[in-house]
Amino acid sequence: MKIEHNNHEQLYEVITAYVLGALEPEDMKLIECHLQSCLDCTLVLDELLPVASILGMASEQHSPPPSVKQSLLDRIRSEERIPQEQVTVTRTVSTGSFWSRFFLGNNTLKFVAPVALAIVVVALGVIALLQRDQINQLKADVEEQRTIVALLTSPSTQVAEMQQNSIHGRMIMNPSNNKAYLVIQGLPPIPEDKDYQIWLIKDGHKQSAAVVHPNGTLAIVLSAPEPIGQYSAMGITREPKGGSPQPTSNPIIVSSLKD
Amino acid sequence: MSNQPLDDQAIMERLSRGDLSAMEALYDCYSRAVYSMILRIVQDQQVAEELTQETFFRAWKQAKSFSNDRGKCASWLMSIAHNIAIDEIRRRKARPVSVRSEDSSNYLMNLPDSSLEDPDEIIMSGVRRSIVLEALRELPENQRRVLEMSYFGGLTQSEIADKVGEPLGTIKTRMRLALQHLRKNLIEKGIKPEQL
Repeated sequence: MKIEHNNHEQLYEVITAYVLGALEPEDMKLIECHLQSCLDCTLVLDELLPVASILGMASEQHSPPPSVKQSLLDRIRSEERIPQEQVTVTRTVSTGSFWSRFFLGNNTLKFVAPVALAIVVVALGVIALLQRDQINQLKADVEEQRTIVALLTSPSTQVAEMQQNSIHGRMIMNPSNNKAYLVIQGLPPIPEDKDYQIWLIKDGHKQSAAVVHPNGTLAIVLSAPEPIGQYSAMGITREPKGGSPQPTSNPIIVSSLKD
Repeated sequence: MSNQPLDDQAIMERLSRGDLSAMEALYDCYSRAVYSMILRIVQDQQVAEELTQETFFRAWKQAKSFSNDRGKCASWLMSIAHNIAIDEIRRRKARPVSVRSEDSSNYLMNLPDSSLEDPDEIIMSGVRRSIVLEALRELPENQRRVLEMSYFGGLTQSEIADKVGEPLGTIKTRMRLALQHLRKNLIEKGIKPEQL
């Protein structure tokens, strides 16, 4: 979906469909992201969203049973009793022996979320500039960004911070989810005939999570076969081009994924 | 239930500080409208109750992201509720199956007016439901129908085009005109949507 901002009617048609929930799901996601950075569209949204809300008020009026309010308040109180659920867990890894030396700390997501949202905005800016035949790839990119935002906004999300020599980064994950977002900076340049391979460790077994050849910062959404919470650690090794079935070198960075 | 308009900014600030009494005030003011709209969409009382709770829970979690410059609390809350309800019926890959949704244009047309003396007639933020219904009834039937099919039926523009057998472009235009006309009708009747 492309919004023609100089086409007044088309602009209103798109935002109208958005506030009524009448866009295709993938277009809804695109518009949601687009609205975060487009003043023209947000002005139209501000005009039309309240009208749609009034439409909702035309329904026959019924009161929810009192149990709904009680359940809501109980649920909130339950959340508040475990405030740490909203606090991320930070882990720092120093240089040392293989798959060892884990030090735990704390961190919050509030500095991470704006960065990820900025990434979404930038990605969508790129979308507007590309041609139609690239849309499928771009939609996949947007889906990846949405995965990142979902990770960042989930109350169960945790962050594992890692540092080893000049390499540092963080892994953002929801233990019950199969996806995690990994950002690593400071990786040494790697020859063309080599790749970095990311491993997830469970019961001592190392499962390949991704093979990458980053130029600069490594930023990737990992899709694990099992929920991330079932893995005890994550590490990165240097492997022959295309990756290896099992690590063939010592990890250049490693982090525990358990408290 | 309280029908008194809330001070949006104050209530959201209290919510973002984790003030549970602010959530109670928000719920007391808006739960009826939220629940009614969700019930209309999902057509299942138990699911509507669950989604109403989910709506307010998300409001609690997202209070810090609420911007008073970007609209009023009522619109924000109804938008959350609508998204949740539409997601639910799409997730179930089911549409409302009542006679109402099959004869969508008649749903809004046949809604009973509330008595002007009935305190519940004021839905939220001082808006009278009878005036909203009147503004809706003044829309051309085909415009009212696309609003109903999309907002309450959860149908996309393409699905509506298929269902009514008209070109997609026609549906897009009709939908745009419908919402613009509704806005104009409401303003003429003294309701300023942007104040919600």
